[in-house]
Amino acid sequence: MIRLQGVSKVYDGSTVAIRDATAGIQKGEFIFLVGPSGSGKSTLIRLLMREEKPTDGEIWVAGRNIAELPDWKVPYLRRSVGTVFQDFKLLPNKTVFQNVAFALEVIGRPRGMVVQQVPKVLKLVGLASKAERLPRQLSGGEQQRVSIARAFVNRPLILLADEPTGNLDPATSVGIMRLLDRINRTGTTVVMATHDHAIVDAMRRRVIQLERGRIVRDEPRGVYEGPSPATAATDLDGPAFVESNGQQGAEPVVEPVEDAVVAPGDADEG
Amino acid sequence: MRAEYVVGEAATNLRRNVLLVLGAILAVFVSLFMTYMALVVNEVGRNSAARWQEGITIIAWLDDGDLAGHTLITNEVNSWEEVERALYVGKAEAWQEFQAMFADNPALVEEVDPAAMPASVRVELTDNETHTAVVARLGSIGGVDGVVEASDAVEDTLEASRLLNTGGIVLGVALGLSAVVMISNTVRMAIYARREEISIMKLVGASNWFVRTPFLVEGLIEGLVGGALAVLAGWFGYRWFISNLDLGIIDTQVPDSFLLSRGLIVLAFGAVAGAVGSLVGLRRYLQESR
Ligand SMILES: Nc1ncnc2c1ncn2[C@@H]1O[C@H](COP(=O)(O)OP(=O)(O)O)[C@@H](O)[C@H]1O
Ligand SMILES: [Mg+2]
Repeated sequence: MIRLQGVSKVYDGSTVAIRDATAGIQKGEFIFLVGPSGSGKSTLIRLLMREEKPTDGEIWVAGRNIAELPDWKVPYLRRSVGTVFQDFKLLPNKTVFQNVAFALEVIGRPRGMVVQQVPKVLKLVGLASKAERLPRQLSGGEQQRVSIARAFVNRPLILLADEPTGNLDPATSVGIMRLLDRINRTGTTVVMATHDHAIVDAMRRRVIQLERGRIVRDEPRGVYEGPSPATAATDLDGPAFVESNGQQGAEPVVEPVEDAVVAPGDADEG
Repeated sequence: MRAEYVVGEAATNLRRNVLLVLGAILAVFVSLFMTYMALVVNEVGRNSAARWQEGITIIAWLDDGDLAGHTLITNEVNSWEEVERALYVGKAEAWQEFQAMFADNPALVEEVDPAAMPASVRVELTDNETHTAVVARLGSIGGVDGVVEASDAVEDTLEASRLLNTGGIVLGVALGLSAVVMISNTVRMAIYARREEISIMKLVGASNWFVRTPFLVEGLIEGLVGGALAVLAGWFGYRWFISNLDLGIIDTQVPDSFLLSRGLIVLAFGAVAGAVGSLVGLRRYLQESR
């Protein structure tokens, strides 16, 4: 699904954000991209959605080397790659429904498809009853769900999430992670950049760790902290989440604190 | 992409910056009005030039006498020493001249009776100082119906029309450039107002043309509205002008077909100004969207 081959990204001719990264990601995998602030997580996400072009190397996404993709084809790549960000990026004057519908409308999907798909996805993210609300009438967690719904409504092959829980409290983050996990189980490949130790440790998915632009660890069912103690020492910008490291093993993430997003009955929806 | 979507988005853009948009439309209007009027004045000048050929400064219209009488008059005028040459233009020639002048207005040509075309003697002077005296002397000849003189009035008017013509084109082009800049500004403002939406459109894979078309249409509408106003104002303004002001000697008639064809050209200019303006406005955005 995704293959990085010797990828480097240098900003302004001097800042090396990614150094010679090579990795392969299978369809349906869930990847945590971890590392301290400035280690290149966001850059890698931006490279995968062709917001940036690599300085060097090849990036294969769904069979195409997007490093070489002509500009006019980028919109078509974006249709198979959903994106979610820390700041939600919702349109403040549009309702929840309209925000999600927007993603279908602007790629020319017919009205019939919009009115059919949007309620479905809103139900999936647990916001069916809040479709007519404006973003400012929602909590942060709910806003992030709208943004996930928007990224997913077009059924992308890949979902890229750059610190999707970065603005949310731990309890709310749990709900978002359950949702991403559920989307992953529909077959969507998920790549999530985070420096949230608790989430990574509780989910036990494949972890790719970056350090100053280099992939220093690629471990299946990994935890946030690698074997090297140096890793933890360089992570200066972790959220106020350090205390949850102390209660490891309590699996805080698995217990939904917020309203239940995933009803067992409709797990295969979408 | 649905037309209603594009026009709807363009209309929203236009409404959002009413003042700026009106300014751009005004700029297009003024520029194209100048251009349109320059084209009309040019046509008026061309028509008049047909009669007031080089050196001819006086025309004596003759009554409906016979050719012999007319020849007599012409010969007499030719014999005056103040006169360089006196040129006889008979009814038939006058008719031909009239037809040529209004070749693009067959309706008008059809309406006029060839027999009603007056013969004339056209006079070139050896010395323009004698102008007034010759005009008076011509007027006193029997068989002369009336005398018109190019004198200063005509010369000035023709000169003015040439100046107006060149000046109008130069001004029209200069103002046209500023109109393009103003249109590009309205488009840039609209893009700025929608930058959030645009960035999300790009995020979810809207094609570049889907993003750009409403802005192109916005500029196009500004250019076309400005152009249409210029044509309307030019057309009715000109008609009002010639029916309320009599320049006498100068032939100010320009046929509707001329006004229409040049009006369409002016409208096309408006569309081009609008398209160029929005492309200039979109340029920065185009560069951003790698
Ligand atoms: N647009 C940019 N221009 C220049 N330097 C950048 C840009 N984006 C990121 N960087 C630099 O690249 C490095 C990696 O940044 P980033 O990918 O944002 O890391 P992370 O998401 O892990 O915090 C940092 O040194 C950052 O300053
Ligand atoms: Mg980042």
